[in-house]
Amino acid sequence: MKAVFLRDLRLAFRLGGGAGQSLAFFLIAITLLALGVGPAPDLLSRLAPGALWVFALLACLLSLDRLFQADYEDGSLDHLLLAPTPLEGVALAKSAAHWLTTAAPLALFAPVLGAMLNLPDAAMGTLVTALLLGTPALSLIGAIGAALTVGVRRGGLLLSLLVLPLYLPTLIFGAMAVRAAAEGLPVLEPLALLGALTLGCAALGPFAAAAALRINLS
Amino acid sequence: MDPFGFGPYAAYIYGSYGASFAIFGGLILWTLHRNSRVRRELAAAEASARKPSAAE
Amino acid sequence: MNNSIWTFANPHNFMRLSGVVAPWAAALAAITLAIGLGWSLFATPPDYQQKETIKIFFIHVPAAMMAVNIYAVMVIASLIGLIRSHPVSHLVAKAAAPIGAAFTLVAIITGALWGQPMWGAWWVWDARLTSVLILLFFYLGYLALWNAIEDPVKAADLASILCLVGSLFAFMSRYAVEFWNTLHQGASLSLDKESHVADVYYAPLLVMILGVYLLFIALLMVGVRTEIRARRLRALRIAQIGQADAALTRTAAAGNPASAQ
Repeated sequence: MKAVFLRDLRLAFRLGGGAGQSLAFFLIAITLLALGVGPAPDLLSRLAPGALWVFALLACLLSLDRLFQADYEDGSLDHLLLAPTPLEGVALAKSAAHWLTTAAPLALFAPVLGAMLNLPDAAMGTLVTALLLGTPALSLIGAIGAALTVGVRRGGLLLSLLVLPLYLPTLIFGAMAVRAAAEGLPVLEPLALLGALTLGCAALGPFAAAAALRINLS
Repeated sequence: MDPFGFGPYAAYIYGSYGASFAIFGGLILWTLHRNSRVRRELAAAEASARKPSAAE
Repeated sequence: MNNSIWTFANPHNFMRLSGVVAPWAAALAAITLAIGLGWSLFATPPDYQQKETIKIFFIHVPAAMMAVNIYAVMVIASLIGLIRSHPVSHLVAKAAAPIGAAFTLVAIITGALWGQPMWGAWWVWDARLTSVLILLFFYLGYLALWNAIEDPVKAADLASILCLVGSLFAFMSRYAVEFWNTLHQGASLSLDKESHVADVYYAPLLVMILGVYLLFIALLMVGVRTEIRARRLRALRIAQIGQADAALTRTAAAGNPASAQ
């Protein structure tokens, strides 16, 4: 399990760094948003919480389709199926590696991007906390979708159709926490719900993903 | 344009029922069409399976 | 044993049962819907608040009910399909999905057409409307997964997993959306009609609900029959291709021994 985790991390960094790419994606998306809606600071700061979360969702989604597919195609997944580590553990390790290479850097750099969108300083702490608490759920849910579509060639669009509806609760609570912080309202409730969601996904996601992988490998 | 006398909101009522009939009509036609097509193809396949000599 | 419901998990028995049930359900649905539509459209008075637009409810409410109920049917069918691996159960879930999507679409369209005169907007991000829209996404995702996977046995199991996971998230989304809506929008004119529907409207509404249930049963039976036949057709075709391949290699081996190596 630890070996799978480290191997995925190494692969992600060797292939041009998943982290760098998703940060660049984030930066471009924010530039596009500002160019699209205009530079008015108050408008941008109102859009910022939702926009940052939506972009985090998309950045996560874009890197999902390779989560299991490379291992499926070259047959290493078949070896992992026979290995003593349960497939659930493999799914969990892969979700964790995915989160560390895509969403975690986003969360740490989010204040910079928030500042570019005029997000009030008071909300920065909550933004980072919410992203750190909520994005693991995105990787865990994404692993279910990636496992379901692992046998489908060019399943990118299908994957987004399957996974994006599952991201709705995370998006709602995450953006709500940041917005509440920007308006000076209490943030404990949405943050607690976000944490609960991540814990629930950590309990459910690896089992569903492993079940889907077993069906695909049978 | 209001043969049934639904009053000022008639357009919305006609629109609702028109859209619903269109969607359900489409669904029913699609279901029946698919059903008869699969039936036909299955009958043909079973007929050719019963006479394997004809294929060779 | 013969009276057990599991008898119908056998495709053969299901075909026999559904062959009888489908035409009856279709005929009853046609009669019930004709009565319900006539009653609700022409024999109900305008509401004192909503005027004639109350007539939209007679199609909107049953459609919205079915949108949720059909998803529940799919969840149960998927669960049975996964646990007991009955092929018919998976096919019930598959055949129910397009019907559910159609009902969801009708609920959304009629809701928008009701909303325009009553709220002054085609669409508002009200908790109920948003939840129904989300439900439509789940139906579409489910159907897309079935279509994307070639092997029907794998597709059935994978779609069942998606349906079960989706049901959890659809449930959560419903409450998340309600939470989101109450915090950030004023209460809009409630669509909560079941609780205060007057008796004059209640009776024709019940007839319409019965009618759409019968319509669903009829369509579902025909749909599952089609799926069972489609699967048999696929099996036959694969067998034929196998035979043809064997015949080809045999003739090739006989005609030209060198090429068969």
